[in-house]
Amino acid sequence: MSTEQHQELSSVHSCFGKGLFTPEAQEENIRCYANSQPFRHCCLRPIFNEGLLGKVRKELLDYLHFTLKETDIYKFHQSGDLANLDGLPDHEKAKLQSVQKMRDAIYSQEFRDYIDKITGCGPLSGSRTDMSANIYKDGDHLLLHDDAIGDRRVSYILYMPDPDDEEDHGDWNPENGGALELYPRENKGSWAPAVSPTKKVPPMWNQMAMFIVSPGETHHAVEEIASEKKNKWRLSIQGWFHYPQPGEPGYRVDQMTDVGEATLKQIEAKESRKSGEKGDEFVSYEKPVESVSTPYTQQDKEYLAKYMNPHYLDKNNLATISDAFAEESSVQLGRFLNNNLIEKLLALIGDIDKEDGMCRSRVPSHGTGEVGRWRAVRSPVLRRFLKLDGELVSNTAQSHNQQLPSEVTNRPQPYYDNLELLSNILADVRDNLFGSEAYARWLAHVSTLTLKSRRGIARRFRSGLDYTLASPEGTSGVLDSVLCLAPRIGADAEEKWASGDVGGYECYISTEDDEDDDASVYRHASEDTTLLTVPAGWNTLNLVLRDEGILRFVKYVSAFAPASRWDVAFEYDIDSAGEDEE
Amino acid sequence: MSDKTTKKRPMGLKKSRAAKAATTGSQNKRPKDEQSQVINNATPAGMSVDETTEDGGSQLNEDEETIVLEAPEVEEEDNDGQIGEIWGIYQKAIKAMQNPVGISSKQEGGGGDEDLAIKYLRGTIHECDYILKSKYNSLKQKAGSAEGKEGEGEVELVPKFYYVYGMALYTLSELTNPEDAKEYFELSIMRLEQARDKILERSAGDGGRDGGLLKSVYLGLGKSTLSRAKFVDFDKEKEAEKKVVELVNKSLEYFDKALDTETNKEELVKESLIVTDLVFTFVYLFVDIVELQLAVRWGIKKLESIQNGEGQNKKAEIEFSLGNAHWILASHYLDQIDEETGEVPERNTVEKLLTQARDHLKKARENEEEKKTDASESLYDILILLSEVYINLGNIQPEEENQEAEYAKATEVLLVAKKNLPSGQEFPEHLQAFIDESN
Repeated sequence: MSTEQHQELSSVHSCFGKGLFTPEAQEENIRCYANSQPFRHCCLRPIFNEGLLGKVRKELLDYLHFTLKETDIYKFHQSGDLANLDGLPDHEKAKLQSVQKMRDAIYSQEFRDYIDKITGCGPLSGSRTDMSANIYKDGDHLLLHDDAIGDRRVSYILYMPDPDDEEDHGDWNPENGGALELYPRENKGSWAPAVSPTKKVPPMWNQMAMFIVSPGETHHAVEEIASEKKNKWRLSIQGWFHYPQPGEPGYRVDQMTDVGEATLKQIEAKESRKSGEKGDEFVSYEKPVESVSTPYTQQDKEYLAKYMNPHYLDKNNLATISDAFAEESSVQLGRFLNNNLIEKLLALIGDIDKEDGMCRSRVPSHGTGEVGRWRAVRSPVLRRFLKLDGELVSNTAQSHNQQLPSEVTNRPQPYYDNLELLSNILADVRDNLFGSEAYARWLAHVSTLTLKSRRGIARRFRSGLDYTLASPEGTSGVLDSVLCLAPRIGADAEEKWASGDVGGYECYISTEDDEDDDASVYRHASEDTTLLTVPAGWNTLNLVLRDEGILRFVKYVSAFAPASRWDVAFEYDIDSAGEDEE
Repeated sequence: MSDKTTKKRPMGLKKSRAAKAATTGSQNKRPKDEQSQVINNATPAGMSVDETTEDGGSQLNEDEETIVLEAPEVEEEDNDGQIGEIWGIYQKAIKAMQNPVGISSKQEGGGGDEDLAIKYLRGTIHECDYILKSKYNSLKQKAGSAEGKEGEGEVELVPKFYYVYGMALYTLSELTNPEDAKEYFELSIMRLEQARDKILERSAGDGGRDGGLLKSVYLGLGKSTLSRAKFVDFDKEKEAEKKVVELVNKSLEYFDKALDTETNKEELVKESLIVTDLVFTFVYLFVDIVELQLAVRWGIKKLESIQNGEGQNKKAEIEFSLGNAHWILASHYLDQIDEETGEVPERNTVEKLLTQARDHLKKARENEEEKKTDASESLYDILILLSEVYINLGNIQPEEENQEAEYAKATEVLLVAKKNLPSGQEFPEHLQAFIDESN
């Protein structure tokens, strides 16, 4: 090694934490990586020289602008691309000298070799740098994904929470959320991740978490930041190492297909995702329901009165609703269920949510509420919520032999009694109201559409856990009928739901029809494509006619939400023949 | 024609948004950026469109257009929704009227669709009758018809039912002025008293959870009782004058109870203004100055009690009402001026009352002018009454010089009033003649 090379190496080493490159540390990291679960990963700490990291943090906070980014899958504050620092004007570059030094160290040959030794990832590109700084504040989150885009080879996250946080004695308190959650596969033969993570990596100061990107395997998420004291936030740098680029050492034309398994997984994942989007089978009516040959009758009115607000059963009132729906193809009906029913529901839901700790501004434990007839719905790649009478196997405890924390399993008996009572009522509403032919005739009368079949479920979106991602859900030409039950528990609850800041709202977005589009593309859809946003409300029925090229999602319900969002969501397949008559 | 062929069909969310964008020239809106139109509490009789201005908040309802149609709120005990239905019909009537009859003399004839309101009110009364009858029949069936119970003695309905029934009867009578109005008002009082009794029965006397309704019931009782007083037949009813006094005093008691239960200061100011205005429009019925004074003084006391409270945006209205109250008292004496001799009974009292009226009206004018609204109907009303007060102050001055001074002030005020003449109204001829004469 020449003197020059030695100086350079020493300069790179000086950026990192003492001892990182020692054979002992290297051995230990290799061992940790090899034994890690649920998929191979490692955490290096202290990764950087404390002085350098402190300067980097200061530069990032002093000179970078962080923009709020929000879609169905994430909400956080992101800086511009740190990989392109070289293109900055000199005076700006001068302000970010430490950041540039750190970036160069991360993508140095020495560190890339080090990563290869630990993970066995093979050669990595030194020319293609890819990193940005993120701030996660209260309510910010990044839902489950596997990072498999393009030629990404290794993912890394460098954590820089406030090292001088007196409250938490300089360390991040895991109770404030913000951890990196790692998800196992459901089983060896499945592409799909389990419904809950089995490992959480808290965002500790000067720690770098990393793993080889593996499609359909490296499913991870960033837990929402949620603290009762509020205003907690953490800074991190997220980046990727890519496969060598053409001309770089180690580059091979077939380097991507080299991992044939991964490509296969990608194809499988895409196919499975498509089948996952299809949902349950529709159940046909005996004959198509429409307002002329199968009119809404007095008998229907009497039947529906057991469930619905009588105001909505009167034909005179329905004329107004029908006109509004015809005009907008969507309408929301407040106070939809009758008082008798809704009073019972409010009392039960309030008690259950309170017992489950839904109103505490804390991310609840995974598995919360997965009891009795309430089952977690997989896959979190697309959705996570509890479904009444869903498959038992998907529950956190069953799906991965996970021991649930005692606060999730130990509930007083009245909780289970209330849950059973609530389940019975919601099942009755699901089957005997929304599943009934009388309701179909009412709906046909209001919508002037012909209904062929229906499917529907009762759901619970737990605050701090649940969501659906933008998806066409397998079909179009469908009339959505969603009864939303988002209780207004606590101060400003109505405002919180209405603002959308705590999520829980249902969003319809437009996309170009393209068979080859992958769902992950939709998830980064521009806000300009938003067609309709329906805030979570209490006892409101939302009717929307979904035509071609529409995706919808229920935004992740924040831990700061006043309660869970409960709903009964139905889809009615409509006969589109004659739709263009008007 | 069938529904299917006559009704407009929805196009689908995407197409309808595209069509709208095409007609308005707008693109799809970004969430949380743009003002939107939200329809709340809509009923077939009328939708209230609330166009709120974006104030930096991030209300989702202000994003893409979300239409919310709200069913009327239904009583807790109203399991079959019947009360909710009649409440809905009654609300349609109120909306159709735009300006509730009898609330303010100034507002009467305010352009509401009275025919439609009458239709809804009759519908409300019809439905109430129907509910009472069917409840009675079902009770009778349960008890066995052999017992032969008559009437509605055992029918138990929620207080809101009796309130709606009573108010529909009252409002319909005010609108149609039927021959048998007296009976209608008496029936209205009976139903409202039932509502009151039901509420008090199930609470410790303060209305409890029905506190809000109890206040409305007392207001309704006050109004109905006052209206009943209007129909005392001086030819046929014994001690008619005494009856009027009794009824008006009773109505004042009801109003007292209504206002005493109001804890929201802003609401208290609003309701006190409505109630005192209502009372002042009825006091002309009194022949006896003592009774008139009692009623008007009651009103003045109410107004003075809210003078320094919250709701100072109502300052001009309060001062106007106080001016009006003193003007009413003064008018009682002015009406008794001997036309031949011009002698004013109780001249000092009249002058004092007119001076008090003037001072209140001047304050009302100042307060109204401070609002700096372009065209103010209220300011016009204030100025017209103030000019009347100046003219009458002039009329009672023994010295010509003082008289001219008051007339000059009246002219000056009238000229300003003319400038504030609300569109669609004509300036009173006699006041125009007064201006012309002064010039």
